[in-house]
Amino acid sequence: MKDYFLFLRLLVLNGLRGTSAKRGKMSQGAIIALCCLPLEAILCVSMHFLTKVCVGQDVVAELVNMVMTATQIVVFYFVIQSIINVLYMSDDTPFISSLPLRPSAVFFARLTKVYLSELIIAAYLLVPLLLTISITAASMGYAVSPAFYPLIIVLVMATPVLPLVIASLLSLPLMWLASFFKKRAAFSTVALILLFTVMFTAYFLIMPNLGKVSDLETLAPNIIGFFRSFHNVMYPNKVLIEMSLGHDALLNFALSCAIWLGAVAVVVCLSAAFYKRATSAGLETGGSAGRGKAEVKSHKHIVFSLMICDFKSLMRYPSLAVSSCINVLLAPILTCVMFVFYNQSPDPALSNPLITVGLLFMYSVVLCGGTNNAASLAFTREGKSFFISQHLPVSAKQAVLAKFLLASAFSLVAIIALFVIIAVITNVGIINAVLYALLMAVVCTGLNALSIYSDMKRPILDWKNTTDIQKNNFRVIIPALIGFAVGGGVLLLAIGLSMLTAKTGLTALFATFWSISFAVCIAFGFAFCYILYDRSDKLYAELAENAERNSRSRSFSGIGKSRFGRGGNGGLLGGNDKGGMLK
Amino acid sequence: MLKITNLTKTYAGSGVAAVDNLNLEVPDGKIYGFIGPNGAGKSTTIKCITGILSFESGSVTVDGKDLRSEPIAVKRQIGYVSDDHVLYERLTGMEFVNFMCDVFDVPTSERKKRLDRYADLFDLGCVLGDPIRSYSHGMKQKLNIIGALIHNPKLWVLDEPMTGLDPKSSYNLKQLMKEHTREGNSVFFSSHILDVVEKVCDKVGIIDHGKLVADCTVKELHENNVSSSLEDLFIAITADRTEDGFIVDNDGCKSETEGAPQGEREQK
Repeated sequence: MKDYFLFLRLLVLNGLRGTSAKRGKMSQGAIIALCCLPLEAILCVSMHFLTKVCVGQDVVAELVNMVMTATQIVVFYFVIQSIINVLYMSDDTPFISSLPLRPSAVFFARLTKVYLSELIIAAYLLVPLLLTISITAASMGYAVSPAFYPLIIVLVMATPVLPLVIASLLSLPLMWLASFFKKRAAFSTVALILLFTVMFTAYFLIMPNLGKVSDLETLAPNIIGFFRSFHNVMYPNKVLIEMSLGHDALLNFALSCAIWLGAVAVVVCLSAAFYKRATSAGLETGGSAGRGKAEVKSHKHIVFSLMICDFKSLMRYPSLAVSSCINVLLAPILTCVMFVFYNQSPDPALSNPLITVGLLFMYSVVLCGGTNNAASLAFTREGKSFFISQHLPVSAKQAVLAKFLLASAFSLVAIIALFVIIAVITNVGIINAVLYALLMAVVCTGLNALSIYSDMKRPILDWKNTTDIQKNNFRVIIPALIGFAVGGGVLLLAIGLSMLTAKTGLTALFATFWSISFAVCIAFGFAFCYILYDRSDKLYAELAENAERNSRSRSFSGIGKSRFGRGGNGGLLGGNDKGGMLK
Repeated sequence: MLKITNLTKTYAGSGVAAVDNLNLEVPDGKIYGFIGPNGAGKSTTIKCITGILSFESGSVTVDGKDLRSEPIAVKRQIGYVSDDHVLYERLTGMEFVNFMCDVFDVPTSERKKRLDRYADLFDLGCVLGDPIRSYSHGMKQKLNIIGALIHNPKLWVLDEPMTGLDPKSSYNLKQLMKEHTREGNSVFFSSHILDVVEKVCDKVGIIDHGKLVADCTVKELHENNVSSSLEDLFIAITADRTEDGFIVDNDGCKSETEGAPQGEREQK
């Protein structure tokens, strides 16, 4: 136990210091939480009305289970990447392996640290929603046990456990299997992408049922049936929720203890078998990848060479590759689920092709352009290797163009997939599908340029793990918010024009819609592309200094020694021992 | 103190042993210099000794304890300085040292005394309260060394410890190594700075392509060869000179590059 607490304390201290900021400034996490408050408020209002309906149908416990499961899926998305990074690809694994700490204590300390990180997310999502459900239900006369309110803490604490157990169980054989493959990183990347694809398909199959209300008073019988079936399927959550609501409290308490403690015990036993092998494989970097042929290739154009190098580096870093690919996969997956696997007929509002296009455009542009990590982490992902790029005889414009084209390639893959899906399975028609794809390309171009610009203004080059630049990086949200605004504007235009369908023909409305949308989006895209082009030289030259300034503003003590900048106080080549960093 | 017997380590997926049937012994009170070309197996050997890497055959014994059967007990005897210092950059230097003291059960009464001494020797006294991320490369290396030595282990395992150290700190580290062995302890260290190895070490082992090609005192090396410096001896054992005066590997391997603009490059 001593080993466990020692190492856990170290991990928590080191992890917490990363998120704290200078006194007087909010941490990145706090800023992200504040920005998501409006979304949280919308969710709470929606939950309030949904609870009213559910109380009438006596499916309150089922509703709580759906909400808890949805939160668990969100947590799972973050935890699977954390598990891989923290448990198996942590930089300190060789160092810790040399210390007299029991491997099991190390494993559980790392797992606990991941749990604590995800607990914050679970608490942020669940507490307001559970309070909304319980207060609304109680106000309508539903018998909510007084113990439910303090037991919300238990529900919140239990929520990350199931995703953590599943992620651990999945990651153990995954990493063990990966150790047999020469190209371990590529295997991990592909496996994770497949896993996320399955997970999100399941998520999107479940989520529409939460919002499917035929009218404001009742749920459709098949929806009630789905709620009840789901409640039984998610049995671990069910027993905990029923206990909290005061239904057969003692029995459900016993069952909860058995199930949840049993799940932890399963992880304990399996980890003993797989963990050491998986971490040992990760430590064996010397010659472990096999001796492949060293093939000399030549590429005709420097920009293409830069793109290839960047792409290979990105794809061989599993967590970055997954986050770059998964965002652009979500739009086609969501579209497929909505129009192919969703058995029930689509919402009547979607029958108007104009609104279909508007809705598709809104979430696609956020996912393909606004959250394109290939763009928003364009230079950040180079990390400390950036100083190599700065020494190469490559102009700023060439470097930026390479990043821009690579990011656009990711978006383009998604846009092509969306075009095919939309043309084949929706009611918008081939011409509208082509125009939709072109409009997406225009907007994504602008958003990618904005993302790269934002990254160049405040890059993070001193990151140690990808959590620093993905979860704790506020800058990646800005393009998403702007994409949401653009997409929302196009959707509102579609909704507004659709109201004139009865008076004006659909063709004329579409012509108007596309004209306005293209005019606005071309201006948007051109503006951001021009800004990036115009300022690329200056931004590239100052990139290292911007990174240093960003690093100082994020550091614990605020003490900043110049480590990345050129000249001045030491710089890359080091003016003195304290001021420089010569690696 | 340290006894390695028939140590063999082959990385997964590789057909060639990174360490091949290695046998060496570091007696009590001796400094053993472990040298070899890049990729020879020095770091692999060190990682096997410190328990970071597993090995398929052979044994490693430290102070009579076998690494495989008593790994925790063996690790308590070792102070390891790695060649790539991975420190917890968001901690302060003091917090890191305290962590190392906690792991190795250094008595509280001893901690301050030892830390004050090492901080003074390595000029880190003023910055121990600062976060490690604000340190330079050399300062991180010094902190790494302090963290490894603070618990006064019987065996110091140092993987290229002089990298990044200023001359004063390098000198002090060498003095510490000698002082440590005078107390009956042992030091096992690898370095590319052959002058240092020659001056400081009692015994030298040269590893090449996973095999120990030399294991004797520096005096014996000189007696058996006409060359005057360890560098000349090292090159003579591990490499050949080309006609134009450069030094290449003497293993006769052929480079396997394809598509090179002017044909393949062959090495003798």
